Amino acid sequence: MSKKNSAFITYAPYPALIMLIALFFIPLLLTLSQAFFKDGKLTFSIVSEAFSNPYNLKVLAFTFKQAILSTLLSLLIGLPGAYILARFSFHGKKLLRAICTVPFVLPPILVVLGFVIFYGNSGFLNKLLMALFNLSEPPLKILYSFQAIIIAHSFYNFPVAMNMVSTALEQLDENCDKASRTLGASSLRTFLSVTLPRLIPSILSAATLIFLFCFTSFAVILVLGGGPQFTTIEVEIYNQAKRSMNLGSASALSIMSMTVCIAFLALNTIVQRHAAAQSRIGATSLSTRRPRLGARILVVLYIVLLILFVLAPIASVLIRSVLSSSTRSGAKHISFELYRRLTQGSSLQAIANSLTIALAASIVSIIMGLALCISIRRRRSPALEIICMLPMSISTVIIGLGYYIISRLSGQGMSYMLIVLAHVIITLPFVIRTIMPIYRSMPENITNAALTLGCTMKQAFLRIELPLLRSAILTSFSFAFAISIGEMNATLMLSSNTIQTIPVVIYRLINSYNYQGACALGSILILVCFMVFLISEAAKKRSPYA
Amino acid sequence: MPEEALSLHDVCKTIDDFSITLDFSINHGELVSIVGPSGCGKSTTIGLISGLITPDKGRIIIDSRDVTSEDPDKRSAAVVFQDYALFPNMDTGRNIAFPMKIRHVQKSERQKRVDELLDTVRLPSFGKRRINELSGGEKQRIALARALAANPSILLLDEPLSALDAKLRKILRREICRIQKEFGQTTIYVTHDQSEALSMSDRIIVLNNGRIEQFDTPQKIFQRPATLFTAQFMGEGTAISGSVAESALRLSSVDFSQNRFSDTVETSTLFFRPEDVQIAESFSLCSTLQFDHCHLESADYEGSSWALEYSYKGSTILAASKSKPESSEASLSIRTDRILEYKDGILV
Repeated sequence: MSKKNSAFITYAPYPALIMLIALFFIPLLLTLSQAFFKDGKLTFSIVSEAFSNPYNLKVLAFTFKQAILSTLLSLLIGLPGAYILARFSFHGKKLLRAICTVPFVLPPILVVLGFVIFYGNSGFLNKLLMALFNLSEPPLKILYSFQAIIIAHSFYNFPVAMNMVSTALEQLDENCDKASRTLGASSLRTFLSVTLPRLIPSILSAATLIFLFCFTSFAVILVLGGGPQFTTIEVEIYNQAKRSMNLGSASALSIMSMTVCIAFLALNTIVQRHAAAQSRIGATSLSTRRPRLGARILVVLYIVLLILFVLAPIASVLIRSVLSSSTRSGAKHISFELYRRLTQGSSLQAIANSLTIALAASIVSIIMGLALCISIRRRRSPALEIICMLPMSISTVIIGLGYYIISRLSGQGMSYMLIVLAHVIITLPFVIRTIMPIYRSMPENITNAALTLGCTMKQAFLRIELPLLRSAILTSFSFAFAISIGEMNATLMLSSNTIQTIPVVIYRLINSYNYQGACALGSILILVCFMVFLISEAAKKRSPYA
Repeated sequence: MPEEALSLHDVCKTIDDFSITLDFSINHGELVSIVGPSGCGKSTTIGLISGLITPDKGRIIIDSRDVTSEDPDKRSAAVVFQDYALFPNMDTGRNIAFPMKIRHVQKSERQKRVDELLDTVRLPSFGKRRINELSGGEKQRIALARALAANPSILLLDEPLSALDAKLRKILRREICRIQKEFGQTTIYVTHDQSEALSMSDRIIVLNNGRIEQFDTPQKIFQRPATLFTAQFMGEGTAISGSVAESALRLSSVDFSQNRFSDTVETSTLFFRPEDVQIAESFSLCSTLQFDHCHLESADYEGSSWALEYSYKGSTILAASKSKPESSEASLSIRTDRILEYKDGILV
């Protein structure tokens, strides 16, 4: 192709690539420099101190323990659902799938809030149980405990197990199972010796991913764990950086966290390859059947419990936000007083801040993402794609730490922009992951046809490719917006008291036991996330390659 | 206007370990097919002509204009792809109007032309259909109309019918011929189906492993294939080594001085088509090559005839017959003027 035309595809991605590298590597290098340089001299003492400190090792052990248990519980809840979704046909299957995507788009701080309101000592569940069984004491005392962390994590992550494994199950070659039955194996035997072994890679793939999410979980631990007893590495990084003002130690802990994350990401890549080998793309989908009566009761029970599990905490937040009592023990009545109060002062400022930051971050992220996608597709460059996915390998707390170090160098005036940039780098991999598969599935001949019909490369992109990516762009925009508006970890690391966002204010309100205020603000966040969810569902239907 | 609509002068391209060299010219209004097995470079040829692939060296001339370094959009060579590549974000009418819109043709003019083209491809009133509502054959017609709307100097069809079923393929290839003649449209038609190429083309390019084996009329290509590859690719036939045939030549009453074969026939390969083989229980005739005591190995019923496979001294001979032979032993004879002799794959 001549120079004039290819200039567009050659040069379009460069500004985006330079920005990506700057936004990702500069904070990371600054973080590392804190761990290896003391008073301008290279030293390994900070890192070796951090890796041998017994308290840190206890924190590391706890981080592993909670992540492993959370992963197991997530699998326990998610796997039956995976089987039901893949093997049975029933009314409301689509609705069930949709409900199970809800935890994906919910910011962690909302989940925490929902858990406090629903499972708390004076939460809805305890109230209900006390009324039902006439108890004087709340029977469930799980809040601010180890169990609460595990349950909150599995709330968040069971859909990962459910979706990944049900997709894998749907793509297994059904003829193997049929062959097994015709060779004389019972259906249970077939499941155990023929179906399950082929599912193991995808179960492991889901497990490693869930482990990573739980390992780097922050908001859940910060609020539900709290004390030194239930501290994970991420929380300890936050404590060291923001409470003890010990950046060297925080950076050394970041290295500890990154080492584990990268190891598990590598593991995930390996098992994912095995999982992909089991699927047969393009073959007829697995036939589903209606469950028999006995199974049907179990299925219905499971689904009802699952829906309660997912929706109860969210519903609690919404209900609690309009319930008000004039006195501490007085009767509750419905009141929108709190919403009225939101229109004043710091809450309104937080809402405005969040919306502005989310809008700016997602627009920048989409533009950068599109430019990088053009380049990934045209050059078929796996290296570039890996660079684009790098920010995913590092927890948002560590990204926040890097930007916090920059903000200390640059002064307070920059922090607004730094939050936006941190959000850009956090959302960028999600944007590319949403757009790229659609872009790749677009037949190359569509572009070639436009070129031979008289389009320049730029015209072909603007007139053909971009319109075809519209729904993917809309979906990724809404996801980027949702991630940014719910993002608390990096923002909390970065923000001085001058900039408040919705999740940060909710966190502070929870800390000061102002649950109702938190719920009112939380309801607004739920509303935004719900709209995002609706947009992405609507966009799915309009996709030309769906 | 010069005779040649397109000429490629020593155009070379190497992609990984595959390389292709092309040198040919096509006249105005001609329909030229490019045939060859998969991987022979057919689609690369389309890419080189349309500008989607840049040649390593050589010159490409379209309508007396050197377009070698021009972008695809400046070449006036529209492609109809195997997968149609219709734009799913536009309806049928807007797909067809697209090349005119790019060239800033006025809207009323565009609409008129879209309607004409829909009539041409025999899909009137299909202007507002969504792409995913169309059948494969309809998509093919719309893709053809869209390419014609660009008013290209050269129309390139890249295996346009290969995704369709056999019956529809036959209908559409007649349609393409009709439209091509009606427009006097210079066309290159890429296919791996030799019968398609034989029935449609003014001339055929046989491509093998990046090289042109033969460029000639369908009749010449079929009756006097220049290479053994072309002979075997364009239809069925028996290739038998000269040394085996030589003994048969001696047995038959063919006089060496009178026959058409070279003196060193034993190092050649002889080729003939199944339909030229006469089957008899015992038969002898002058100026035939005769294989006695052939054994029937298989007989496949193909509807209008039987495809037969005989063995003769370890070689296989293909023959055709209206009825199934009654005996498993036969004498096969082929008129010597129907036999082609190849030395090192080249026609003697």
